[in-house]
Amino acid sequence: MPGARSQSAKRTKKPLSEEKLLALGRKHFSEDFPNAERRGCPPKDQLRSLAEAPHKAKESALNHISSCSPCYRDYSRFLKARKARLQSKLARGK
Amino acid sequence: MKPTRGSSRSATFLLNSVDRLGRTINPKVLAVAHEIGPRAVAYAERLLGDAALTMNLFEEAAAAVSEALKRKTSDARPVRDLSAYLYRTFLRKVSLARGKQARLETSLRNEARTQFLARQASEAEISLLFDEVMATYDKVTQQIVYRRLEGLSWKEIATEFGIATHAAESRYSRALGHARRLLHIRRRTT
Repeated sequence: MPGARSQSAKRTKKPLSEEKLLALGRKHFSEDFPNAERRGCPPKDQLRSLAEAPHKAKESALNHISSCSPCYRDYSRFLKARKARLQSKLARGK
Repeated sequence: MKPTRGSSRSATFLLNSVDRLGRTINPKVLAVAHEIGPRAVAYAERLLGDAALTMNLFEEAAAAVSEALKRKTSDARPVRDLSAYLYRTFLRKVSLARGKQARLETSLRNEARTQFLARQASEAEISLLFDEVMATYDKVTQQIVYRRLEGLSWKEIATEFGIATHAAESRYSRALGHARRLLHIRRRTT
């Protein structure tokens, strides 16, 4: 009909992709809690153990990384290093 | 006779005897246009900031005046001051173009602002979503979410926790889905 709004002109909210969701979550934890004075941060060993032996990890360290970006970034580095180590071990084993 | 393009009086101001739509410009109008053109175009260029657009508008104004002149001659209603008539026509066209530019700029600005606000809102919602998961779910689910955020595959995650891939995936999506529903309910009730 002339003058009628076409269906395509309507705006629909696109669902967020998994990748975008993960990127935003990563950004949130690694940037939104600056803690420049590093108050209440656990020792690095605890963060490493959180990344390498999740069952043995201390709950306090786990709770801490959800509200401290520097510790989250350290934890993220430990996770990545572990992943790289495992992958190289796997490649050597083949 | 076919009109010729490119007749000029000065080195800086060039006006064709046909406009860009192919309409002929009356020789009288062309003569007047060459008189008032340089100043009128310079003035309008300052307003619009676009030399090509200004020149097009002037050409269109000259063609429109030529058409009007033809009509008025047949009506026996002569134009008293041709240069003033042409100038007014040109200014009307400039004013319309300015209005169009302003509307376009406003609409672009509004669109950018809407998109920015929508993006901010969605980022804030996702931050809340993850905070909710970390505040309400058990140690294993929290670590699954962190590992997923850092790009570990489902297989890697499942191996670390000694569970099936499907179980890891299911814990993750259940936690996120639950937090999403909670946030949705809270938003509706507040």
